[in-house]
Amino acid sequence: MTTPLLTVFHKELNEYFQGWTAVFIFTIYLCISLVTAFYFGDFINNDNYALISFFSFQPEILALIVPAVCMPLWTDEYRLGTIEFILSQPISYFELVMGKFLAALSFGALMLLSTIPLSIFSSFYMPVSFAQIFCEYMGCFLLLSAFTALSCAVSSLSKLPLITYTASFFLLWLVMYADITLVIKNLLGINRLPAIDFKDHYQNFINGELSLASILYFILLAGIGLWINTVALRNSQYK
Amino acid sequence: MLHIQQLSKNFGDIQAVKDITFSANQGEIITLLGPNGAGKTTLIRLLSGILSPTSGEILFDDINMSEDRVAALRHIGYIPENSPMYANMTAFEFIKYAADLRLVPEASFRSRLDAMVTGLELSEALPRKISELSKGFRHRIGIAAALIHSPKILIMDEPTEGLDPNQKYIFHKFIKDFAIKGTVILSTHILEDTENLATRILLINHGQILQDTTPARLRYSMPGKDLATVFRSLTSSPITTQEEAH
Repeated sequence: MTTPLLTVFHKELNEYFQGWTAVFIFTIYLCISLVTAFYFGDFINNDNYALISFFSFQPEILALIVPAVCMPLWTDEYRLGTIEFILSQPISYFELVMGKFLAALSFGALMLLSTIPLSIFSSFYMPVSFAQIFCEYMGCFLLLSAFTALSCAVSSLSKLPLITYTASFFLLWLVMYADITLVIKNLLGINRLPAIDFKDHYQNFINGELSLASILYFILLAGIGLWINTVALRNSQYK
Repeated sequence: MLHIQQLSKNFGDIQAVKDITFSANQGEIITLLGPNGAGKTTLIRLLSGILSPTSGEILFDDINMSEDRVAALRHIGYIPENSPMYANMTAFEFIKYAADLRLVPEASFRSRLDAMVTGLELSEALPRKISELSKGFRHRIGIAAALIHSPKILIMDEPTEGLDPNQKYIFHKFIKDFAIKGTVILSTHILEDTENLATRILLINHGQILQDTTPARLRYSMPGKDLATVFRSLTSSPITTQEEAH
């Protein structure tokens, strides 16, 4: 039994695999990931039992790639005028948002899965901790969910692809590098704070810890993105 | 079937639609006639669920669009101006996409599609990419996608813009056939559409209904004048609503 949400999901996922979009994005992602891991992360010489050289750079790489993956989702609908078609269909705003979000997230997940051979090949040459690598992939997937939801939200706010990409890229870097702990300390004078910054939560996964607080942190970020997207769509003053 | 009550839409300080009230029944072909910028497209987008009203209500039978948008939209087929579509889909894929979004069962889809292909002469276009199709074909594909779920109400924005006389003929015939069992609301500034199709005219300017009339009564209001002259004289004069005229 298909639902409107699944219909939107299938359509959007198919879009990525028509033409060369998927091949292009996968190639760029894999090239950047391997270059950063081997060249900047010194993969060969470091003790990479958990592929830390690879996973350490994933937030920056995904912040570069995810806005490109999410950019067309709403921007193209506005640019081509098909937003009128899709909004006149009997599907709720949230289902529409979720259909597109899940399609982009699935595409991103496939991108992540394409790096699994790296851990398999590495295991031939050195001892690897598959348990820790699993935690790191979990962290990457949660990070990807949050980035995808935030980028989808930005995509729904503009019909200009360049602005969408730039704004999305800027937002993701802000999320990554904003030192919320420092801001709270300075503004409220609270010195004893639990780790609440992005880098702390991602580091938990890199360390092989499946912390509930870190899982919730990324789910919360994704939820905020989806909520903004739904509200933006509901209030779009399409003229 | 369709009841619009005191519908208004503001964009910031601009009031695009002002306090519009009317009803539409089965068998009617209503044209929203007015000059560019009169508020026709905004009204059409309000009726098709794309925009939310600032105030007022849209009721399809007993379903209030503001309360249950999804249920209300199940009764509507909508064709936007220039029939925007996904260029990389084939015509068949686009119609199927519309059908799946509207949960049309496979068996009904096949029979409805066959009827559309015959009625709109689409067999040649169905397997082709939308980007390769002429404007006339794209337009007819848009009609097929809008009607694939057998809606009660068909709403169209400037539907014959850019069509040649043959395409207009096919379109007019199809719309008249649809209106036997359904309701058609179309916005236009093309008087030929109004003369050939309309059973009722809502003359709109500055976001307000100036006249709710029929083509015959509109012409009768200025004996000896053609519809174009009547249209010009009514829409170029200062705003006088129907109530004020009475």
